[in-house]
Amino acid sequence: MTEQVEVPRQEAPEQETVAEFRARARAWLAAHVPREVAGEPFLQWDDEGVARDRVIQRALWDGGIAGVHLPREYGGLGLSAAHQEAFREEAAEYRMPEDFGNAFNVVVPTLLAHGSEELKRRHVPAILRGEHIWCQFLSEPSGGSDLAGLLTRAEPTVGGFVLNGAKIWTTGGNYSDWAICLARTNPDVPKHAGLTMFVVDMRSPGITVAPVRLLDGTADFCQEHIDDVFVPEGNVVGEVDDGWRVATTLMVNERSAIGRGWSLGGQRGQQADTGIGLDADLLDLARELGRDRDPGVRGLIGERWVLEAVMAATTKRVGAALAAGDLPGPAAAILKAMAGAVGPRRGEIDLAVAGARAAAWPAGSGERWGFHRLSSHGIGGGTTEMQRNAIAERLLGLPREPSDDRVVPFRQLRQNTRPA
Amino acid sequence: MAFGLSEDQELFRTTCRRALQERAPVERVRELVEDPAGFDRATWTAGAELGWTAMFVPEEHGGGSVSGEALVDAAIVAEEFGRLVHPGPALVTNVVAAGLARAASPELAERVLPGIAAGDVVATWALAGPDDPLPSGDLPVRATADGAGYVLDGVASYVPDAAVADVVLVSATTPDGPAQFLLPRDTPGVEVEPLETLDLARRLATVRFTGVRAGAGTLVGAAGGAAADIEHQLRVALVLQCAETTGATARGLEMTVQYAKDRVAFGRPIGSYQALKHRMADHRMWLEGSAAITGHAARAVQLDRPDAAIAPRVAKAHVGRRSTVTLHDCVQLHGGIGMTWEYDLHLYFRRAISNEVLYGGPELHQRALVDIAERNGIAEGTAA
Repeated sequence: MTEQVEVPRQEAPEQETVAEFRARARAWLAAHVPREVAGEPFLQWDDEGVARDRVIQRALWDGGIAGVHLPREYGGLGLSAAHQEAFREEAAEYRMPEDFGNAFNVVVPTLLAHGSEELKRRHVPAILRGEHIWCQFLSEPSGGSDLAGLLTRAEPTVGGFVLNGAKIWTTGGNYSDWAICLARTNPDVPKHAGLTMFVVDMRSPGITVAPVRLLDGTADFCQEHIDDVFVPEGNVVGEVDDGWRVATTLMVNERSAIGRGWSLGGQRGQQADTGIGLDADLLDLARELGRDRDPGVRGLIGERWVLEAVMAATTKRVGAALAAGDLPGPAAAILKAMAGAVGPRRGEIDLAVAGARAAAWPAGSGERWGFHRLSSHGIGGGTTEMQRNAIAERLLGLPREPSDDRVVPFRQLRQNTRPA
Repeated sequence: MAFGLSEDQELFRTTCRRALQERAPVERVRELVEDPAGFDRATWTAGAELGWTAMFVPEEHGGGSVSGEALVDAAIVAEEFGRLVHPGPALVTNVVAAGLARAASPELAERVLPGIAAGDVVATWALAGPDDPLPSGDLPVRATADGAGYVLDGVASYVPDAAVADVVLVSATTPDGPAQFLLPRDTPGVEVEPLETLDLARRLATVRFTGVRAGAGTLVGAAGGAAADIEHQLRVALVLQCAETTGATARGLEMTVQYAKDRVAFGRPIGSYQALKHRMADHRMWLEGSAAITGHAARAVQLDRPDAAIAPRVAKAHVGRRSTVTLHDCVQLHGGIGMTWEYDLHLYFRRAISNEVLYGGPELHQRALVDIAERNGIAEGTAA
């Protein structure tokens, strides 16, 4: 049943020093990839953004500079960490295909660690060529924090499994070609022991995708219904019922990517050694409103700069420490928790300075002062409470809250629900 | 390498920590609470041999740092001091050394810096006024030209370890702008009035200058042109203060986490309750922020990066505010034992509070950031 999948190759020299590679990457990027535009959103999940990112990723492949440190047998260049670092530096000022972030940061490392030979040969090159955007089917409407308590079922059938359930908070779900999906294959064992990881073709019959509009009006997340979706047995990642281990790899990679600054270029989110920059927008607003001489307002503007500089310095320090092994993986939760704390305080400050301008503003001015108060930084990608648990239990070594949900068979547990 | 420090710097930290643990555990610090000098000469001398006061002193004057990054090395010492609420004038002596290395005449440098590096000379800095922990305009001491020298009058306050200092670096106002003088503490007209201090392991004093004659040879840098030197000393002082507070907070939080693991109530360790562990997680998070921004500020000042004026003030605003909140909550998380004199936690809490307000509190530094931004024209929309 395992057909040998042909792996395409990039046009690239057989052997290349870091300097040679850097020169080649620099020339190719300059000629074929658009530069970063200041103020451009990090992720752009719309027709234009997705189409552009597919073209950029394809351009990296055509230039022989895609997947610098990924193995050659799966379409990468198989080059060293120093080559990869050279690429990051050269790519810093270019628009990188961020809509492929899930694929590169999360899916590829997970497939390389646990996937079958066929899965690796089929999917890694397709990502490198800009063909497949990926999303993650993890959280469910009945629960996001208690991931291992998920309800989506995968029942065996001839040649594979039939999946039924629902997923939510999938970034880019409506633009994705493939999903990496955690589902329950055995409810008669404790919850962590009965899960299996699959790769699912988003075009499979039975998958319906709907964007979820958030409280600020944006809609980057989606919800999916999974109704009798057939998944061939070759699409199991790792072993059946061993999905929690695969999910752990996935989450570790996600956290460490966040620690690195997530971006494929690897620079954004990190603070370069050029130092702290002060964003003038709030001070400009205070001036416009005639409040810029008020000592209290000045203190608040300064505090916002302090919050942002501390967040940036911490991102840089923790990212470097994670990469060097000076801090254990769960330390990445510090960054997520801090973003969840900085956001609301920043919102308070903006509101205090902007006053009524946060409630209403000149039409077409694009002001969003009230929106920082309206944000949901502390929920997406794992709630602040879960980050606090990770810091407390896995970094500080404090004991867990006692619960029998890790030992009782899943079927006997009171299962995740949400009020109707 | 760990957290961007070299192996030499890591070794320096280890040596520093070991020496402090052996010579100056917290029990010893408590013994010194009633001592008027407030510090232990033998530990001071041993520390000098390990280089605790040598890093800002140029090699030709007998100094040097393990890494070539004097401020980063000094911040390591400061952080270790904080972990044991170490008393004594090493940090302010280093601030003075940094100022002298930058601005003192060759003769003055040769006369004083070798003694600082060797641990023979204790130095302190008079900057603040009784009503003003960080003067923004006129300084509390005025210097008037008098023949070839100057006469100093005024009252400086919150001067660290003035009673044991051999020399005092005085930042003063002249009609032409600020000037600095290095005076022996026993110069006639210099009067030290010890203050009572919140931090039991720190000595602060008011220093009165009454018709003090300061010869031309005591001038540090150009008369009227010392503003940049004072600013540099302030940056160094803020970084060291933040590093010390960060060390104190780290230790206080360690004590608290350990207590929460060991103390059992309602049938389980109190650290298992999310209502408590989430608070400790938040403190751990902000502590990482303190270490990060202090480390960033140390390098920014050391390398005179474009954000060298901003970074120490950002660090002070963050570290000052968060550390006091954290250590207060550490006391709360301990419950009854945290309220007692015998338990060491309040020593750390006192140091954090004291450091929060000395050299200006968080609010003041936040406003200073806006002043700097306006001076640099950032409000025109160009990020610095």
